[in-house]
Amino acid sequence: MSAKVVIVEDDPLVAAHVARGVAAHDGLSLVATAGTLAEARALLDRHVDLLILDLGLPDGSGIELIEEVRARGGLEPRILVLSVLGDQDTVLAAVLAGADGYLLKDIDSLDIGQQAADALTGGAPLSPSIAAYVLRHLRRQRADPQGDDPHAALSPREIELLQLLARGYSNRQAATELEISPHTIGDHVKSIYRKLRVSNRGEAMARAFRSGLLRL
Amino acid sequence: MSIVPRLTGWRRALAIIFGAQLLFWSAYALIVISLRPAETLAAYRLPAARSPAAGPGGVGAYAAGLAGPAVLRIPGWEPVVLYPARASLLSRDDTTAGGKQSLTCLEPACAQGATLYAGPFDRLNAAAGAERFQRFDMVWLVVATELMMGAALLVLLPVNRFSRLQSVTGLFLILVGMDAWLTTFGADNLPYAWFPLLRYGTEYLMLTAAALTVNAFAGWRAGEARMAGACFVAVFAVVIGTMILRGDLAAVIPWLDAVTLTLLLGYGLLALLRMAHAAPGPAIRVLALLLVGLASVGFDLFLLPPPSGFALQASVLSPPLTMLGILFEIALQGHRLNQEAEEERSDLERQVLEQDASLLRSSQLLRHQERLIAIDAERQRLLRDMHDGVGGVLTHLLLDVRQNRLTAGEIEQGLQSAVDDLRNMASAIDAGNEPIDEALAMFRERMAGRLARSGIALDYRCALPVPAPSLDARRLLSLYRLLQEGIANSVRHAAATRIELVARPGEEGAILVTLSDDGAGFEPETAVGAAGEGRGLANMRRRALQMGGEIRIESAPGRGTRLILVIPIHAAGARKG
Repeated sequence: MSAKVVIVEDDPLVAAHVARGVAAHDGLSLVATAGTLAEARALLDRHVDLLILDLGLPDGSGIELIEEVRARGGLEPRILVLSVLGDQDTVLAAVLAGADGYLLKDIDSLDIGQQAADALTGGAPLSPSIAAYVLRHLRRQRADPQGDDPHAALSPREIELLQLLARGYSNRQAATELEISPHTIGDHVKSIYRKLRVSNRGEAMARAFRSGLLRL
Repeated sequence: MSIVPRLTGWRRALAIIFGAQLLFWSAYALIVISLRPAETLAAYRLPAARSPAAGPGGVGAYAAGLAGPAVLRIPGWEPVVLYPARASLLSRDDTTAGGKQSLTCLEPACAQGATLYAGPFDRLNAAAGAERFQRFDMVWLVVATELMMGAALLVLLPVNRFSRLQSVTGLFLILVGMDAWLTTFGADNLPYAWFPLLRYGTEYLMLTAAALTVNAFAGWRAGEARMAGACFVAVFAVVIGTMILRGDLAAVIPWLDAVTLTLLLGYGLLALLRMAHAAPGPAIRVLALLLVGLASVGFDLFLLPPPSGFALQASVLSPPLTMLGILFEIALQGHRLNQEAEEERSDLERQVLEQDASLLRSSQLLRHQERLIAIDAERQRLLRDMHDGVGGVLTHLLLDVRQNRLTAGEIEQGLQSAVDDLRNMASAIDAGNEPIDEALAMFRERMAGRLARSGIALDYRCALPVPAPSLDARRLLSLYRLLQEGIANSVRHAAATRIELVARPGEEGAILVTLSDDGAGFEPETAVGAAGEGRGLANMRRRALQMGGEIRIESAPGRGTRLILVIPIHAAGARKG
């Protein structure tokens, strides 16, 4: 029983590279590859476990697709965004829209398979860079109280966890530091993602527009 | 402000003159009507053919216009003492029938112009009361009013910014009050030989103050004020001289009065002419007051019947009106002053606002220019960074590939380091001025996966306090590149299996970053000049220098390599973008 993966990427070279990585991993099976948003939408009617998604597509931004998927509710499918640089604006826009993480386009195809599998099992849900980006986002929000949403306020415990992860702590190290079980770490991370999604849907779009992703 | 259209020119002048006349004669009529004229006493005038008639209050006698106490003798009645403006009761005395009626003064020349009456006591007493009011009480009233008004004007000087007109008028009013008191009561209360000097001195001083008031009204001229002062000194010298030489002023006073009043009148007319040019508004108002005075005098002279009993002389009313006019003028001037001050203030306010706006504009312009300069500097920095890192790597790679000197693996390695450098640049831009522990964790995240594939573990530990200090983007990029170079050396030359990156606090707030491996190590002294490693070390030293820090390299063959980087953190350096 392997997880169903869909790749959305208009660059055939990158798509093939990612597909090799997915195919090489035992737990993953590639269902389809799409080059445009329209193709991807057609594919998503079926059951998919993991969506590996490029943001700059010929007929729009991958952010739109993330929003559509998350608007249906639930945490399925998991979404990983493909990024060249892993830079703050791109990753944060994707995470705030509802992505679970990102993959650098040039990493070894074996690593692609491993990271994709990790995203599915919840093994490494929040990388140090994402934690750091989210923290910066929260700091900026605090400095500019316009976007303050009481429903979306992270608990002190969750912010503490973010700080540890941003410092490069592994889940296990963070669990020891906070004196909780690694399983609870996963719950916290899920809660962080949910709150970010709830509060930042509009802002993710605004950020995507600002950084030019929607005009690619 | 006004709903009534403003009159101008001669219409306005006529309106003011008629308004003043109307005000005056209405006041006069009101007073005359409210004060019922006393009944005529002609029937009781002495000497009468018949005996004084008795009334319910008995029989009394009264001398109108009496200056001092006097003894009245009437045949058939007991002698009685009469006082000024008082009625006295008469009692019959049958023993002294016959004889002659007489009035004997107790003081010299008291009965000049006095008219004797005898009749019902209550009627005579009422008439005496009216005379008392006119001769004494009214004077007290005037004295008190003038003194109070004068004092009020002087006290209120600051309100009108110490207006000269107001101060001179206040002085004038006080002198008028003093003069009235001295003229009426002074002789009785101050029975000294030198009293006339005080009285006439005050009188001429009052006239001088009147001249000064006129001067202030007509627009102050210092020369004329000095002239008035000189006139006063001259007149006062004549008064003193006469006092010393003859001991009696009676002969000179009428002359002096005539001369000073003529001078004052002439000066008043002159000033009025001057005002007509300089300040037509006040001139018209003064003219209106003068005409009221003239009309009242004319009324008294030609229309008012000769005094019989109580009758109000119109000229008595005109000085109070003049005072009212002067007060009105002062109030008007105060109002104007306030208005001018208000206008000046709003003008100032407007200027301040305009200056504010222009300051804001220029500061915005300045900020815009500063931003442009900052953006330009940022672009230059980006160019320099690309030149220094990814640009150099790609150029090298291109030259090597053209000469067919590289294997596929080497090309991949070169390209990988170019992409790594691009990521370092992106990350430095993102993480500049953010806590350095996060920046290092992200660096480790970027590197760890690939190193693990080559069988090398990259450990990272951070012992910096929370929140950790931060580096600006430029210094952070230098740090990234230095660490990248160090890791590349460990992988390429030292065959390391474990690399450890540690950040901890150093001395004086500095950050200590240590990168150590368990590789082959080398002899630092000999390596500096060597070809391969030497250039890497020199590069790392250059990066450390760019950050304003220093690097120490500890290594020995077989014992690994340790790079110790000291990065000073100073508030200014940490903030610079």
